Amino acid sequence: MRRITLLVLIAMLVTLSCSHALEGPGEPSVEQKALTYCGADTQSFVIQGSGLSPMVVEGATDDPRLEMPQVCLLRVKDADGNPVPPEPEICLADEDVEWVSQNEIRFTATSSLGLSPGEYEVVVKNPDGTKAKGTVTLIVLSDGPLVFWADPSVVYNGISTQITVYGANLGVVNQVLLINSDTGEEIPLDFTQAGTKQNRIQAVVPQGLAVGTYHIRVTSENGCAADLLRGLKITDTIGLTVTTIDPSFGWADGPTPVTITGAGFQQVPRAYLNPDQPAPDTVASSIESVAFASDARLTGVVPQGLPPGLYDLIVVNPDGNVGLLENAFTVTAEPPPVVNNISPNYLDNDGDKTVTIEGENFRDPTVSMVCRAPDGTETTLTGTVLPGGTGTSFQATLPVGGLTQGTVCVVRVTNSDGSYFDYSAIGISNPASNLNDFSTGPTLITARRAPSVAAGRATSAARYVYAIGGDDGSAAGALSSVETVAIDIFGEPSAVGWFEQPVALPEARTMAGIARVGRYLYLVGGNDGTGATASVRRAQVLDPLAAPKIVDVAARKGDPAVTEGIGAGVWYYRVSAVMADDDPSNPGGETLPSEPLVVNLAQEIEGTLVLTLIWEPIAGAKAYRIYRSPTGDLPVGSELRLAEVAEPATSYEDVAPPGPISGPPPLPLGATGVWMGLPDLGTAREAAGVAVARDPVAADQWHLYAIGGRDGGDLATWERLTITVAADGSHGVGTWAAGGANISAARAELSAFSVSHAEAAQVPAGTTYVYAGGGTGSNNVDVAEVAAGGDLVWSAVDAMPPGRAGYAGLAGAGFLFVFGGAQGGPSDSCASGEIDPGAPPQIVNWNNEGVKLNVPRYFAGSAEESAFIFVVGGATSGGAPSATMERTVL
Amino acid sequence: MKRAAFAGTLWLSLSLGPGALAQESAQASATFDTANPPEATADGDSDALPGALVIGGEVGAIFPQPFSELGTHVAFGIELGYRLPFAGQRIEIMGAAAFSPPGNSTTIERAEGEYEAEIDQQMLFFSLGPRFRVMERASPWNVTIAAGGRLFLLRTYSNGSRGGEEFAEFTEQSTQIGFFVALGGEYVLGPGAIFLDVDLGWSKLPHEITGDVSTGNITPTLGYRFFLL
Repeated sequence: MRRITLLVLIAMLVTLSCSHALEGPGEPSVEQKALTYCGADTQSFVIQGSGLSPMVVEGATDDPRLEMPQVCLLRVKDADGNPVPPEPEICLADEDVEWVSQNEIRFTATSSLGLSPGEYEVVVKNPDGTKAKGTVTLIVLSDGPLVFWADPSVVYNGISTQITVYGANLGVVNQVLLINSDTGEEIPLDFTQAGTKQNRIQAVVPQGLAVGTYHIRVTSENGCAADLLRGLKITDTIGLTVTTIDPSFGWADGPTPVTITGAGFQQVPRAYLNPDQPAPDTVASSIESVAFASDARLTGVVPQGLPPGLYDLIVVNPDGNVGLLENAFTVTAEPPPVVNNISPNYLDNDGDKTVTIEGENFRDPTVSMVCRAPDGTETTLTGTVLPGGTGTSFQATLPVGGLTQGTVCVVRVTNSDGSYFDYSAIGISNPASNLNDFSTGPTLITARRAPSVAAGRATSAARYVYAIGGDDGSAAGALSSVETVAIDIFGEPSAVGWFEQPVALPEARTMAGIARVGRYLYLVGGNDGTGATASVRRAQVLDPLAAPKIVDVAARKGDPAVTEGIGAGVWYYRVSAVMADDDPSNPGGETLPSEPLVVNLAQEIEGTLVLTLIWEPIAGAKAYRIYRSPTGDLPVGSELRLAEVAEPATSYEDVAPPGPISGPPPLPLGATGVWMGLPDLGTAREAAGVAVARDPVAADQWHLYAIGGRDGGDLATWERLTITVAADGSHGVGTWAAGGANISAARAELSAFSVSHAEAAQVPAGTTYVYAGGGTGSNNVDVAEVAAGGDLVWSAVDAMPPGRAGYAGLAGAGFLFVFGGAQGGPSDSCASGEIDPGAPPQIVNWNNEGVKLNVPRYFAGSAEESAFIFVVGGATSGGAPSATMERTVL
Repeated sequence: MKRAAFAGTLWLSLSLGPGALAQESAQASATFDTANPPEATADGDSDALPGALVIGGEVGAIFPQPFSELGTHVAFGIELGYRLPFAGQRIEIMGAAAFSPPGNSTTIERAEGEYEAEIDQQMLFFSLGPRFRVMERASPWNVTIAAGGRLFLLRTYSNGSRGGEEFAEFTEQSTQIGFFVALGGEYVLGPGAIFLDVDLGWSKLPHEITGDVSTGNITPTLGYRFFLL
């Protein structure tokens, strides 16, 4: 009994000595709340609740301290909102928790916690281990909010200006503030969010703000804020010279490319249109895609959708200098006029002449002309519109009497609302309709005998002459390269001169025929350096409107641990598409690049930014190419290829740091797509005559003819390829069909001429004649009217003077013209045969023109663009290929 | 509330226990004349000598400073003993209970500001062990030496404030086994003796609130013992 009692006592003592309990005030609680960790290095949060308290620990030692309520984070969902397997809690350091009262604690999350993006449960425990009831969640963003660019970064306080603030990871923005960096004054801005990821903020900076520098603060709905320090400068200094904006009008329902001239432009100004009579809440409209061409010239695009009316033009330099051009631009409610044709487009200078002007959208038009004489003198004349016109056609009398032969007149048709169209051009001749003197143009990069020469247009205003292939003086030295030169509205070749096309022929080709339909160039036959070929190829003059469009840009901070992203400066980006290998127009070829995206990163950006470009997809693309300025602050046009991404990607994250880029530049305006193969001719033909004519019945069909030529011996046969133009402008072709009866005599080194009402007013509208000129072995000239379906039935007309072969030929102003190529060698002579005004297609007779080429030529190429004739290359005296070009006016 | 209950229970035991016992002993013991002490018998016993049952109460101050950062506080207790009937009743088996709530207040600085921190350490301890009296039983003066085991019932309170906002109170309690030694002197006066003891007690105090320290303390107390029966 005593032993049992002793054991019980010992057990009680042991139990007592081992007992230990820690108790708090009961179960604390937290109020339900959703927090967002914005990704900053540190961010503080507030939690409300009850019964939250620190506890004294080590209180009887010489180092007493407090144990705060423990805050731990338990990840429950990933960044995409999917539940995640249980993970260890991440508990904050005690010093990162602050106690305010039993109803409030604060904690600070730091990047050192290494939190993965996603949703976390915030677990709060009092020091006694009691978990607080209630739910607090913490959303950890993969990247914190960021604002990196305000466009423009300088605004004029005389107008209300809409600015675009570019950011990343902004979420739903609920406030945009301007903060005066000097006074701290805060100005809330009206704003909207835009962009595919809602990362662009369009905010309105009201007029009248104090001059100074402002920070921009963007606060998101989740409480995250991002600052762009000194991101906006407000100025009131007007001192910049702005001279013109051309055109000075735009249609409300369409974008209008414009050119702004002035002086002292810096890279890159911003331009605005502000109503001439603004209301207090009027916001100036930004001209888009402003590119810095020089300190005197800017280009840009007036967006569609502006209210019709008169606008002032405001240009703001990056240094804050402002230029103002009052009453500079008119937005019209109706579409502007378009002139498709003026006939005749060659006028004799023996008195006033009446012309028919055809086009669209004519509304009470007036006509004027700017005429440039061969000596460069310009004269402005006013025409008289005759009664009886319609919205698509009217007649006008032009006062061309007395103008110097060779003058070129650009005709302006102006509607009553001020919108106009400049038609290029009509040529002024003498009553004998003689050609004007030739002027010499820029030199080709490569001298070429027997090039194929054609004119093409990228847009109605962007016109080019192409010199394709040719040889170095012998067919064995055939060339595959292609050169191009731009032509202005007065027919003058660009002073920049010829540039080599990035896309060459797949194989060398000389003595090939060429024809243009729409924006497609057809290259027919020729010699590939080994002999006559039956190969036919086609290339498209690329359309800038078919280029991709960059619609958004996102960003994140560059990781300093790796060298990535770009820093302060002006950067240009472009994107082009690479079409699929089965594309019907440009298989495997590249499009023109997008309009440049300009990004101007301020010096206040710490470190680097990694931008992500986002563009609209292009139907039929297999990849996209991204171009960027190699380093900051280079002028537009310096971009080089940075990367290529395969479809279906429509975005690209640019992690590449500034520095050398080895890629090529994007395709320039005027570039062609690839020279795709078409069905071969039935017979190989070199130095054949090639012409194209529209079907007289089927408006969507054209017929491409290859006539005569040489395949070992001269040929009298001809072939036809029918081209069908789809509604979208693309071309479909069948196969070459052998022609019917041959031309009257076999011959090569001839030209074929297609003559319709556009080339000769005496030819009835809807009728097209094809002429086969003389050549080697025969000076016969055969003609046939294009029948429905494209058939030709030849008949002979007046023969050319003997010995003409290897000449350049074209039709215009009612004549057939031939240049050079006589007696089997170079010649500077020019001849013409007038199409009988009373009995077309007869030729009245062939006469030598009074003018001569500046250089004797054999196997030259020629092209006609509007009223201008270009003769290019060929073999000159001694047989050497020529690198020269000449120009004259019809 | 718990702290109040704990203290109330102790006070009840102190206030009721000695009084009741003293009343009972007054009826059963003879008056002790310190001027004419009775003569002892051969076995050391005498009807006029102090009784063998010892009941006492004491009050004093606890000094934990040699062992921890706890501060001085009042201490009070009661004791119950029995002088064994041999060795001239110089050896007494005694049990005691005492209570003291020393504490510590301090200012704790953190990055976000200052906090006022306060802890209270309530100690209720029960002691059991022999007490030896150096002089014979009939001597009016005596010196006592005691030692033994001690059971500590410990409760620690954490409180504090910041900017006028009070912490919630946390309590931590445990029971620890320790020891004590005591040296004292007593002088016969009336039915008992007044005494002055200096007590050294110790046990572990492994509380989070206090830190891993000890209950070690030196407690001088002044009290009165009844010798009954």
